[in-house]
Amino acid sequence: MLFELLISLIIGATLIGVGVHFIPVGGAPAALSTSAGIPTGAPMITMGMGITGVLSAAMMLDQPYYVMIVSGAVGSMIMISVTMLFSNLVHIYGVGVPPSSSNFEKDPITGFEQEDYVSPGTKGHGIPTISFISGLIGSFLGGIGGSIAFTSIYSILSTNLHNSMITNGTIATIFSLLLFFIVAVMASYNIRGTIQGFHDEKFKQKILPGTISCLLIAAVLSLFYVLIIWGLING
Amino acid sequence: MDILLNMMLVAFMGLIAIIAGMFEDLESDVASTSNPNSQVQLAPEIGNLHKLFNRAISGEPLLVGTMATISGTVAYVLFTLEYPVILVLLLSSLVATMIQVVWSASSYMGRITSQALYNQPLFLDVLKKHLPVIAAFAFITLFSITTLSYIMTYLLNPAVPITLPVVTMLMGITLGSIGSAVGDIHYGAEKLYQNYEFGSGTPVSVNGNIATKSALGSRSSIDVVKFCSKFGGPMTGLCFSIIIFLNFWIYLVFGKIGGLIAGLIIVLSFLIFNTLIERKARLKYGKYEKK
Repeated sequence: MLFELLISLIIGATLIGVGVHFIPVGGAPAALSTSAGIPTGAPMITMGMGITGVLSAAMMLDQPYYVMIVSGAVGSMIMISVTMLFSNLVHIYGVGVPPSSSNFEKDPITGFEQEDYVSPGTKGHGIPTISFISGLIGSFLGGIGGSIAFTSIYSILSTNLHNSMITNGTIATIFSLLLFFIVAVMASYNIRGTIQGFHDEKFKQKILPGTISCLLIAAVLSLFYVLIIWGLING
Repeated sequence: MDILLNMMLVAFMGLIAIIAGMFEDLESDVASTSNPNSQVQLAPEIGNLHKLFNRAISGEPLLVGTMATISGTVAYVLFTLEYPVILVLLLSSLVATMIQVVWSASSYMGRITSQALYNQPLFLDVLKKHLPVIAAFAFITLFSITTLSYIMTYLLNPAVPITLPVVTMLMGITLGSIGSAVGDIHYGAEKLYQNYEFGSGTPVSVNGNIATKSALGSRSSIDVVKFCSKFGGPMTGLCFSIIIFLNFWIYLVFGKIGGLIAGLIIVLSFLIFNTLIERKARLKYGKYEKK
């Protein structure tokens, strides 16, 4: 039982870590239209995304586990897609720049040339379609990871402890959110600065060490989690 | 009847979320909280002395999250003491607002005094003029977040199975991350660099060279908030509202499994809409001329 929890936590945390790499993050320069991507730090947007996913999963407590997990992914995807869309709207109508990035020459989905539409002296602005799709994939993975963690913690608590649904739900929410906090910071240290999704050259360099380090940190974290939950149940 | 009540509540939550999002972004603009804060901090170092408010307690999500948690915790305690709902919501937001104002004042003074090396003066009129605005906006934001969380945890049926302080924390962090990802662009890329031509990103070479003069005298952050309230703020509000509304609405209307499919379809339609506006912007604005 605890072993299952350990495995699902490792899978969940690793998925979150891999998901963060897919999200096109521009950091503070993107808020000045100096760089393309979502204009905030990777941990910040990942927390927002993870929370929406966990909240969606928490609304599905009476459903089978696979529905809870998918609903977490859908919640995260809704959050990230609306945020990216509005970010682009503000870029286009508020700043007057078309979404483009100098990290790649051509958008493989829409075929839009990038370099000519990047304003001089900058690395791009806004979120081009390919980065948008990458963000959706990232939020899907992150949402799935977060809701796997939430679901596994909630199920083990609800079968072993005689707490109310609200108490178990709250404990599971806090635990699964902490995973997002730690793994997202780890992944963003690996990204170092900005990344424009899976079509970016940087992604290919960063994804393998990122995945391995996320797996390692996930293993250590999950071990601590299992200890804490074992203590909660048997303490 | 249940579904009708739930629909009304979800619509009301969407409405409150607009207000929360809008004022959260404006509060971060008037206090230069989030990402563009780096430019306000950099300006005196390259000789641009300014009268903008400068505060960065932490990243925007964590600040709003913390304040909302304080508000939610106070509300939870007052609820257990069986105070009336409106009074609880008002009092809890007031307590959190007071803490935020104290932090803002100390953060402003600390940040500006650290720039004494570059001859940046600490203006008491800036402090006096901006703190009431910060307090007002923070109060509206925190009141809206606490009300939103109250509806989620106590009125919705089925309610969110999480306690009130944790829900306020979740809402605060989400709102903060949306505020810094959407509204800040209008402040950072447009208002701070209004001395440069519209329709261009900010080159790294001009970083820190922000507009410090307004139509009449020095620019203050009140001018900034007037500008941002016309586009950046409302867009943030709308963004947060759509997220909150959709996350509940799809399951109410289409059922649990149908809601998941509807959610995916909605996400795909956002992708298509995004591509359309990207295409439109490219056709309308054209290519940049190489210098």
